[in-house]
Amino acid sequence: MKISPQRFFPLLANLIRSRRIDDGAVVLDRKRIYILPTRRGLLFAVFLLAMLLGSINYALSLGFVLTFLLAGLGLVGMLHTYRNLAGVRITAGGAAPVFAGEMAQFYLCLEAPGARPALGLAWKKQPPQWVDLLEPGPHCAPASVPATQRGWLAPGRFTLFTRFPLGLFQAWSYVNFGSRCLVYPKPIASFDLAQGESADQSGALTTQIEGAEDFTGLRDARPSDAPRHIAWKASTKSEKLLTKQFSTPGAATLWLDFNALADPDIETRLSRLAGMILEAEHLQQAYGLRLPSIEFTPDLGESQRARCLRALALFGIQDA
Amino acid sequence: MLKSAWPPLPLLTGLLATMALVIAPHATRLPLWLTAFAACIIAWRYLAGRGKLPLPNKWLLLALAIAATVGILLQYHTLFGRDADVALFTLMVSLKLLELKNERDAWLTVFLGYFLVITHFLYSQNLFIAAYLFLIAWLLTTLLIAFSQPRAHLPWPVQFKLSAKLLLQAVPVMLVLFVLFPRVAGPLWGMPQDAFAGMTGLSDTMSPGAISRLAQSDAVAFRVEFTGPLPPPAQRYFRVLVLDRFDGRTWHASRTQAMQDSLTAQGQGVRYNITLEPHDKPWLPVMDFADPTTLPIGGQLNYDFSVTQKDTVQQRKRYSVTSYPAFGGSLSMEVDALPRATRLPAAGNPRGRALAVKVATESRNQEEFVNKMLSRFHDEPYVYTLNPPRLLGESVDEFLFDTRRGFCEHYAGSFAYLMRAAGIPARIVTGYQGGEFNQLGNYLIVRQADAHAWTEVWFAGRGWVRIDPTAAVAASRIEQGLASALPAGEALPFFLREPSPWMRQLKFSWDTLNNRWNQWVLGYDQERQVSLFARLGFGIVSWQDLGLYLLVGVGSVIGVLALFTLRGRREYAGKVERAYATFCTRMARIGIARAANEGPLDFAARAKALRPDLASRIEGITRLYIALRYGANAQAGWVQEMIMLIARFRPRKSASE
Repeated sequence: MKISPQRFFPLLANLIRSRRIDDGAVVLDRKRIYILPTRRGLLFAVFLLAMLLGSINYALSLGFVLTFLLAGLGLVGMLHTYRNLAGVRITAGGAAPVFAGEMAQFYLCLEAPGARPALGLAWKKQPPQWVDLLEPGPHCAPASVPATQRGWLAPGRFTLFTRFPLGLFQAWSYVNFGSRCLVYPKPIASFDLAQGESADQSGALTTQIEGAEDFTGLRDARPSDAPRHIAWKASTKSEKLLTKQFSTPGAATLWLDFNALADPDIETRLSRLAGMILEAEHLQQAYGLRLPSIEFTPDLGESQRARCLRALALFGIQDA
Repeated sequence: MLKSAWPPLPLLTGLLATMALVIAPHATRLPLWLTAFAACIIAWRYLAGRGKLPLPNKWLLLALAIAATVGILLQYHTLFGRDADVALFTLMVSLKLLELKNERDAWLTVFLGYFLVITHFLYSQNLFIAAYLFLIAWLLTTLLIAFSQPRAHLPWPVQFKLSAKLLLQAVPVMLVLFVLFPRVAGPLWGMPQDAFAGMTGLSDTMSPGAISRLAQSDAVAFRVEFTGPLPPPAQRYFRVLVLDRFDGRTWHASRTQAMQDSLTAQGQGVRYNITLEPHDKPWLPVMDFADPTTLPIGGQLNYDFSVTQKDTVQQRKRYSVTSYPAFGGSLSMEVDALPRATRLPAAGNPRGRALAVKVATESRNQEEFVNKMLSRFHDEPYVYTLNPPRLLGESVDEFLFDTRRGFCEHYAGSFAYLMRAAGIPARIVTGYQGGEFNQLGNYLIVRQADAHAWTEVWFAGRGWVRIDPTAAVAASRIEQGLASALPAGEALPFFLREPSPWMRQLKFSWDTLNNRWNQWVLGYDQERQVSLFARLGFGIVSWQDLGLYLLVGVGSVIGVLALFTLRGRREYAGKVERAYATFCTRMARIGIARAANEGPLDFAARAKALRPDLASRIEGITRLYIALRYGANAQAGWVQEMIMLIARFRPRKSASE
């Protein structure tokens, strides 16, 4: 249960919503911390009221003592909840690129002058990431944001909140470092490079790749072999796991060509290309990427993968 | 059937143990089967938490709830009233434990636990219960803290400490609220019929054995503070009721009327405050003879000199009265009081009648007759005892001529009977006599054990005169109390045995503490509140004034607490600085004091040069200190490490030692 200010003070929420971008580090102080009772806190108040009425009716002095002690506890709890957020220093920690459809993890690094248990880090209504700051030094934790489409994902502000120690109040604060996360197109793996099976709509590529890889025979399987290379059918006959072997002539290059794809719409083509990049990386097969505006010469490895996927992600997007 | 995965076992165990403690004081009051039922449910939930038993589904739960409710209905014949409601509430809370599946249920259970604590106060509000209140609040608050951490849990000692800290900080708020919250008089809505069941005290009838039974109780009836010196025991007759109708076995009270006549004071007045324990009866004990002009509001002096109020006394009541013990006797009475006071049943107790007639013919006047009857109790082998034999038939005759063993009601009852048999108006007065003086608290404790019955005899021209036949049998009962008057060898109730001096001291200290508690905490009502503020110079406060003070008071307390709580901005820094200061103190002790303007690095360099044997440890501590104090990225655990290093750093004066 999260209490959002929108529900309580729509006007105030509008003020808060102003897209102020924090730069560097943010230290939470009373200008940035909001606090309201939680639903449990309100229920607690209802219990206290019932106890108060009972104490008055039956003239129970100890009833008054207990009721007032708990009322005091609630107020003290409010102070401590506020304090649990006060002084927390937040810096942006970046976010690694993800594929569309995955959760982007925006890291925020938290540091406090003392112990701050049970801090929740969340984006909108996403389930929070819980952080316990119990030792000095920054502690980085990710807030999950669903990446729905390729391009730059700019989630805006994150909420850091806490209900510790009593759960009767929630203190929260917003931080917006303007951080963004690169979202690659969602890969489609309809084309199996290894099997040399051609998906009919990608005819243009098939011819190029068939020359590049020839099935040469079977060998004993090693633990490092990819499961899809295991010749399952042959293995059932030989009582040993066998792996398909392919010869990859060095000269043969794999070109992934945007224009050669048969898919009518751009997004599907980009997704298909992303899938091919992953597959080629997986097979350790050097590949080049041809997009209408740019061309990447064949290569293999982390930087090639990042370069190509980034080009796909930002295809047709101004802010590249 | 559902398997329970939440909450984790330590939390569940804590919750169940705490709830068991919350219910425990009711165990003595609830029917045995219900206590067993609650215990079984707690055990069931525990086993379910350990995966040994499934949790019930909602139909089984419903069936259990209905079955137990029917059980309560059969037990109490109602579902309303104090005892039945407490039983129902306890039942529902325990069933809630079986339903405990998520965090929300856990919170609700803790809140219900707080609420359950308040139901104990319907039965008792003594100091033990107060201590229990704080214990339970501590445990339940610790659970709240545990439940407010969704992921990792702080170690239990840390949570207990935090919970204690929160409660201690809540105490000032509680005090402000307690003193300032405007009190209202009287209940807001009706009270259940049985809310005050089981109170001990005198009743409006007296049959043989009634008072000796009451005398077994050490429950406090009331406490008296005298403004002046303590009156002698012979004056300490506290009148409760006058019984003037006799049916052959039992004496009954008649309906009394408010005194209409004006009285003239005689002798010295004695002013005192009585704090009466609730007894659920409308009468207020007063010393003989109360001045009607000094009675508490709502109190009424009757023709028989008893004081009553309209409603029964359901809360501890404090009132002050002035009495005139030397007041000779009252001529005032209702018109039919004298005829009532001579009436006897037409038949029964013939031997007593015959004796009265015989002695009356031998006496010259009423005084002689009365004295002869008293001498008979004194001279013949009558025994004053707490355990008189049971009287079955003609109770007066049996006592006077056969058993001759009795308590005050036997002597008073038979004496009044003899008077009436001789045609002299006589009546029974019940009340309390004597009491134990607490020198520590400077007040008199009057217990149920001090309950007493005496007689009043009508003398023409003098009015009603107190005659206490018990004094004729056992004079020391009046002077020194019950314990001294009972025959040697009679088994005394524990509380009546003569305690050792330190036990006595302890007893009085404890009673003094209880009295203060009763007066200032439990007895803090509208009246006390108003008088407290008047005494503090605020004048007569209205509830609006109190409300304003309340806001200011709570506001300032919270303000101070906020300063305290939010001040510690550099909490780790504080720890680090303190540890380093310890280090410097220990260095100074071996003769290497850090100069005020000396940086930690310079100091370390100088110290290392002076004490090469300590060099590596000085170096380690200084490095950690600088990293923690000035470094950008201190690592987890460094603070603890530094504190540990310094705790172990106990250098000696010289390297050679």
